[in-house]
Amino acid sequence: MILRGAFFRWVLVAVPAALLPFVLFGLLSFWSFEDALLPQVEARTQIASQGLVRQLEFNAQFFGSLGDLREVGAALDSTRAAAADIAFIAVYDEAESLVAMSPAGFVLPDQVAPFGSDTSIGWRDTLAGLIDRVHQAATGIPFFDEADTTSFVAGRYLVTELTVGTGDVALGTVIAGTELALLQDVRMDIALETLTIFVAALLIGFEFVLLLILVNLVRPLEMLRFLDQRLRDRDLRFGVETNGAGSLASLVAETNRFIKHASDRAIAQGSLIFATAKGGHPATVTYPAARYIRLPLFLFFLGEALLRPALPIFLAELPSSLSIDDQTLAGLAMSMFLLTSIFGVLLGGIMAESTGIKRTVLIGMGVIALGTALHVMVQDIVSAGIARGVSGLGYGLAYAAAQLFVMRHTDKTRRTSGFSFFFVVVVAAEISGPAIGGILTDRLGTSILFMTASVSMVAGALIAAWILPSALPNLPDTDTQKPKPLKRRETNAPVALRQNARFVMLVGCFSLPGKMMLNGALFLAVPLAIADLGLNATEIGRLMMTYGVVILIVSPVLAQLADRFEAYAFYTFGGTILAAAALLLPALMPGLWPLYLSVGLFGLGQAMSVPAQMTLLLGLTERECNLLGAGVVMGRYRFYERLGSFLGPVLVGALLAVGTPNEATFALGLIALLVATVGTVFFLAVGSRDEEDAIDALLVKG
Amino acid sequence: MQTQKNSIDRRTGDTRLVIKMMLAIFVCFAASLVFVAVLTFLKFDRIYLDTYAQRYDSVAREARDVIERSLGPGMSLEGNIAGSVAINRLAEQQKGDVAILLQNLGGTVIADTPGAPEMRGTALARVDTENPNALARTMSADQFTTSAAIRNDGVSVGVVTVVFDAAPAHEALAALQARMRAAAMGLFAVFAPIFAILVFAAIFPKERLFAREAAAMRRMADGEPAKDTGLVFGATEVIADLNRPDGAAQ
Repeated sequence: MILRGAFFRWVLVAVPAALLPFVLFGLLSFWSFEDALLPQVEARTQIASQGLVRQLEFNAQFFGSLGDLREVGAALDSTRAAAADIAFIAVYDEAESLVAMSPAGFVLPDQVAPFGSDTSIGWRDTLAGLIDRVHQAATGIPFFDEADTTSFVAGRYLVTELTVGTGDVALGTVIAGTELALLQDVRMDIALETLTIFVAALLIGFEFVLLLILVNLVRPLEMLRFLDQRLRDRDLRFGVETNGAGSLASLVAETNRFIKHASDRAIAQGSLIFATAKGGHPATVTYPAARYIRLPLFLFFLGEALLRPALPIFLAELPSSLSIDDQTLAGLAMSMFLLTSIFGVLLGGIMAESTGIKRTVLIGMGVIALGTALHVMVQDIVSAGIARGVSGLGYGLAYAAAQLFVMRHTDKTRRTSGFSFFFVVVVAAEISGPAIGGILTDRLGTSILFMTASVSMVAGALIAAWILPSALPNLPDTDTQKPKPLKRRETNAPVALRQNARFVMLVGCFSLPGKMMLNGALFLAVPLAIADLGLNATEIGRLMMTYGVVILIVSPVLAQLADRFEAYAFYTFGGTILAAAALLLPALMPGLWPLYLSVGLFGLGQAMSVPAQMTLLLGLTERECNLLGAGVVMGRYRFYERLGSFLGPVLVGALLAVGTPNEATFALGLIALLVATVGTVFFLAVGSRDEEDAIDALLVKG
Repeated sequence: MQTQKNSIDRRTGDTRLVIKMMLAIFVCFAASLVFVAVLTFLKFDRIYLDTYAQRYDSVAREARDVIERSLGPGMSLEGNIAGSVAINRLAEQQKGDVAILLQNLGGTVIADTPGAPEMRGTALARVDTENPNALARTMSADQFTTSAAIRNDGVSVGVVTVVFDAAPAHEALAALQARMRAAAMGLFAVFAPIFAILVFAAIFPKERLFAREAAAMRRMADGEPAKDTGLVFGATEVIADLNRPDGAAQ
């Protein structure tokens, strides 16, 4: 509480303050670019119009004035035909009367008053002037050069004036307007890209700052709360491990010292109201540090998310000696990641138990970083499949170990909130990663992209090695201790769960199709659909970002509503059906904006169904959870879910062999819609409660 | 010495966390600005060079049109003097900013203007001969070229290439790069202190509070009386119990 209010106030001030330099940089860069580009556009227009001006001057020598010339319109049309970006061209005589215009009857934009119009843009000139003065005061030179041009911007056009004359006699003026749609597109691109990079930087910066706050403020405060409660209970048996910098760490250390002295005094006085440790030495408690893994996990997921917009195209363009369609091969290569990650998850759990959680996290992150770097050396689709496979294995290892880390560092009362940041971190990485990946691919190519992703993963591993505690927390009176090893009966988990029809239907009709749609449609078919529209990786990145933004915005609200109304089943069924229906849109309404709408609705459906699925699962498998343990049930559930992640790209790859990406997305959406409808009908018919439990409940009620 | 440290803590707090936070924010801010600047410049660079490369498109088209009009059925490009005249006239109109070459399909130079570089092979290979309006452009560190296929009676017979200097484009881009660098550095210089103040304002009051608490706890750990341990109030209660005359009996 002591930090929360201050933190949010600080964020309210800091975010706009942090955005401001990026906005200013975007403006300054764009204006500088405009200053450099417009003279080029002007020169091109002048060069294109030179022939016309010479022709007019030559003919005017014989006819006396421009107004007496014939067929001027045809000459103007010819000039426009030779320079495609000249939108209009007009000739005025010495009396400023219009002689001819191409295209005929073209309505000049308001600002184009042919002779000496005022085209200044107020706020821009004011800001640019201010920056100029500041820069000149600091460096002695102005920031913006004096424009070496006679042209001016009017609306969507750069208007260039050329004088027609013989000797010193001016006969008239040619005015040519060049379309500046390119500049408007660039302005929009720069704004979007700067915003994208700002959001990514903000998220990364937030995670860095949050880690510092966690280490130096939040965890010491939690330790103090723990010690305070012990002291209030007159319990002098425990001190805590101290770390971090600052006064709060000193306070924790002094409190430990106080407990030791108080314990000595209580023993010396023979007090009966104090609980003291045997021998008078308070035991040192390792306090949980679940959220320490946030930043390493964010960098880890970010590395993988960076590849998302470029990977399908990269894989589809690789040469192959196999007689299979390129896009199908790309789907298979992508599936290698998912296939090995399934085994990685299983192996990661075993390794984390036997060799340590931290070590397994580090090994996983190291392996995926290696696999990602291997993509740079990929020569064909087979080696790409191997690189994807290595990456997937590392992903699975790190993912499983990270989940176990969170579980071991949270007690029952905090486990849900502990796991919730997994979702937040994944979504944060999904928002920034694909967009940045798209920009990187567009500017620097896929090799740099793979190296950047690999570096991000290595950075995650290094921070994990530095910050994650190797020792497990050992708080007294909590269940954070290492759980007991699996009993023999627990090895029958697959059989026990398969006998629960509701579990099978939940997995088969909602969880599996959900992952198939995510990995098959969103991560494979949709990027290919974008490529089919002739757009680049940047656009793919923006589309992926839309998915993440929708989830980040609506998920917390929807989750609260789901909890309030206990509408987990409705959310799971309705969300899956909505997500599936969203995938039908691109084939029904071709174009870019329907794709955005489809991805947005898909994100909304996923935000409804995915978090609610876990709660519904625990409700449907209450008996199995009591028998096997919730961890085993959830582990199995994740395993089956990942099968969907594997099957999605395989199915879409096969569909792509016979249809377009939009058609493949449509087919997958239709299949998922039908399966989810069957599942919904099943649950409507049999209910979400076990029959015996329902009868018991009725009897108890009665 | 201990008392002196206590008074320093009470007065100033510990600045290590503030410095750490400032460093983290500075690094993120600087890295983001560099990232934005590099990626934005790369976009500008591409668009500028593309625009610059189109500078003499109209000259290439005019040369092609003039030469094509001078040809007729059965006439060869090599025997047509009008081609040489046309490219010289067009080059003169550009005041020597361009050189123009006329080549046949085999790549042999039929006519060129002063300053034209030696060109190996033929630029025709790069031109889409199926599209009569197509132009082919090349860029290198030294020069740009724009080529157009020349067709006679619907059949490609040669190519005319306008060659122009790349140095002005690279100079303009270098100036743009310098200006963007100056903008990024200037903004960092202006906003980094503002962020530092924000961090200081957010953290330091809390640090002072914690420093006071740490000093109070230190005194209590040393057995001195203390009146304020808000964060660990249990310690005050423990001291009170330990100091009660009947504490040992309870």
